[in-house]
Amino acid sequence: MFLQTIINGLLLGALYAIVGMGLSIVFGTMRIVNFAHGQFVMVGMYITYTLFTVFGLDPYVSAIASFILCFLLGMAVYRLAIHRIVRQSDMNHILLTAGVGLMLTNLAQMVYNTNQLTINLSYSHHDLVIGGLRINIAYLISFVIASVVAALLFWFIMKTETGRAIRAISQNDAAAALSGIHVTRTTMLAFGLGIAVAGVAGTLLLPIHYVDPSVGDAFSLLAFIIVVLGGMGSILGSAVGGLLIGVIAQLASYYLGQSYSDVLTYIVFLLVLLFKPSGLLGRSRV
Amino acid sequence: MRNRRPTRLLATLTLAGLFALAGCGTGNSGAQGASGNSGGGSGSGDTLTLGVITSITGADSEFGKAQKEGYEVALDEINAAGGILGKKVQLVYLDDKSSAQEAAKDVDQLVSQYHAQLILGPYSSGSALAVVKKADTYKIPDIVPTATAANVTQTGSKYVFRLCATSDDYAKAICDLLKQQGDAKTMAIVHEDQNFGTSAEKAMLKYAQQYGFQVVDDESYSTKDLDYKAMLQRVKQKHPDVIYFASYSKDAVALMKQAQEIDLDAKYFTAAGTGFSVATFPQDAGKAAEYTLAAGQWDPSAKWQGSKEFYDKVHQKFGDYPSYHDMEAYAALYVAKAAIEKAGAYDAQKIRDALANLQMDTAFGPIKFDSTGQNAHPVIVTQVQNGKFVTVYPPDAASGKLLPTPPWSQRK
Repeated sequence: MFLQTIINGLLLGALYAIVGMGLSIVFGTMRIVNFAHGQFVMVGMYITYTLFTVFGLDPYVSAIASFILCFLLGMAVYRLAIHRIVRQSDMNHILLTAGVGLMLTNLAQMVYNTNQLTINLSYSHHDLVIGGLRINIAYLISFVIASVVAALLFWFIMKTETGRAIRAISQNDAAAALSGIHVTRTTMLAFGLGIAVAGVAGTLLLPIHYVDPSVGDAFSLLAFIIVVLGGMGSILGSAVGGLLIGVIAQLASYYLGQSYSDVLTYIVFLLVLLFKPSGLLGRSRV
Repeated sequence: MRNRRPTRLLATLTLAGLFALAGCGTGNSGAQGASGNSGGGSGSGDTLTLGVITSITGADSEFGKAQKEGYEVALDEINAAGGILGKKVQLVYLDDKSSAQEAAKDVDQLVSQYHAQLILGPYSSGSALAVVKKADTYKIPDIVPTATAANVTQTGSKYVFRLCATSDDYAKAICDLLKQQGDAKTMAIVHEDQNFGTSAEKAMLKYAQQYGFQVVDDESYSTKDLDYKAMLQRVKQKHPDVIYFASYSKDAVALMKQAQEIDLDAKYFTAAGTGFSVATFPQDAGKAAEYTLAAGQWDPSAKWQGSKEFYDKVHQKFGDYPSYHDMEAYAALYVAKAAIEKAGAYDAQKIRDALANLQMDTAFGPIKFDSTGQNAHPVIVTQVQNGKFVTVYPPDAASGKLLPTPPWSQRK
């Protein structure tokens, strides 16, 4: 049972990880404090819901649509709003993005009202049984997609020219600009990418969780915790952080009771901050 | 920018938390649920505007929709028969967005904008507790159709009148049925962590002890949780004969589907009505809904006059199959009508006194409120059989036989 709980935790953690990874680019790397992250996850969920109910599109196929639409939405939000305050204090980031988040929440409420919507998939409650261990198919697919997205993201940030430019800006934007990097365009791209990953996270969450306009709040908080736990600016760290939180939550639910899962998650988070303030895989910046 | 210290991070995160909390409050404040136009002073002219609070949107919206259907059918009938005190009746629906705070604000709005002398609703136990307390400060009677938590009529208010049976009655009915069956010894309780769930839990703990069932597990969860499998695994390890759920709608569906997924077997899957009784449950949970037993308040085969007619009317008008949530709202409006007519005026104090002494027959059974404002209403137990609710208990109300619950592995 212990092994089963760990597996369930890893499967759940993969979803947390992908929620966190989007913010890792935006907040961890670009240092834009994005309080609307969860709301973008919600947008991804609604996109998937709509494509499923209107066109019958399988949610795992619409991950691509979520990615593209949220990418465009993210870039537009950056260009129209965040760009204007990106060099200003964190507090301005918080106020602006929280405002964007409220707008998205209320827009969703206007279009879909506040009902909790779910989609019914034939396979979302079926398990693969391997050697006595059960693996839920919906979670497994999400896990695979999350891993692929994480790998692509990692490759993109570490290996490509644009990724290098993103990292350069995160280290020193003035120097990056002097070396011929188009700072605005690259930052916009990075922001869009982070939001696109949030959208994909929404897609992967929908087969197992309902969507309503306020669903994003919980995910915003979760994402910040994952990013800080994993280490600022480390995509790999966010992946590890998400998996860790998933495992802790499941272990706590199983051994202590469902209501303890949040308690234990935050205790571990506080311990990490106390003893390794830079996060699990973060370099100390002090 | 580079040398951010952990204290600043912590501060940022604390802010993040605050915003997340604030978001819960402000994020929902956009929609205005009132439907129907305001008639200004509700006693004036030839229309009488009555205020209804229910959950039009949010997590409880399926129940709010059911209630609205009940109110609408009653409204049509009452107006066709000449209204109340010779006035045409109009209902204004205020949406509590499935939140207790909003429900309390709705009371303020009904009083200030509509000069309400009587309140109908709300839906959930959490909202009801808030509305009852608020209505008490305004000294306005509140007719509670559906909220089952015992504490709704225990605030000491003289202005609360509840039609439905309580969570205590649910627990007792389930225990009676189990005792009649005779093959259950151990029980696990799985309940949501708000007012409804916790009062259902308390009631069951009390009755299980009285009836000699051993409660081997007691789990609480939030309806916002992503996944219930770890919790259900805990239940599975205790091998209870009976599982007693107190759940709203989406969680009821998820719990049963996940119970099926992890092969959590029990001789009896029982529930305190609500999510397990709502009309959409058998469709949404599909095969996982089969054989579940739910304590409830009414079904169309009930012997009271008008039961079957009401069922047909709702089905005809809305295409839905009404559950007891529809019926309770329907009866509530008739109770309001009787009380106002008995009072002879649309006046809070007179209506309250009329309600306290009211004795009438409705399609929901006889109504008479005791000194706490509680109506003694019999509870039935239904079972999902082939996607339909069949009443299996008590024997004099039963429309079918209780089927034993096969293990998941032996189901198709």
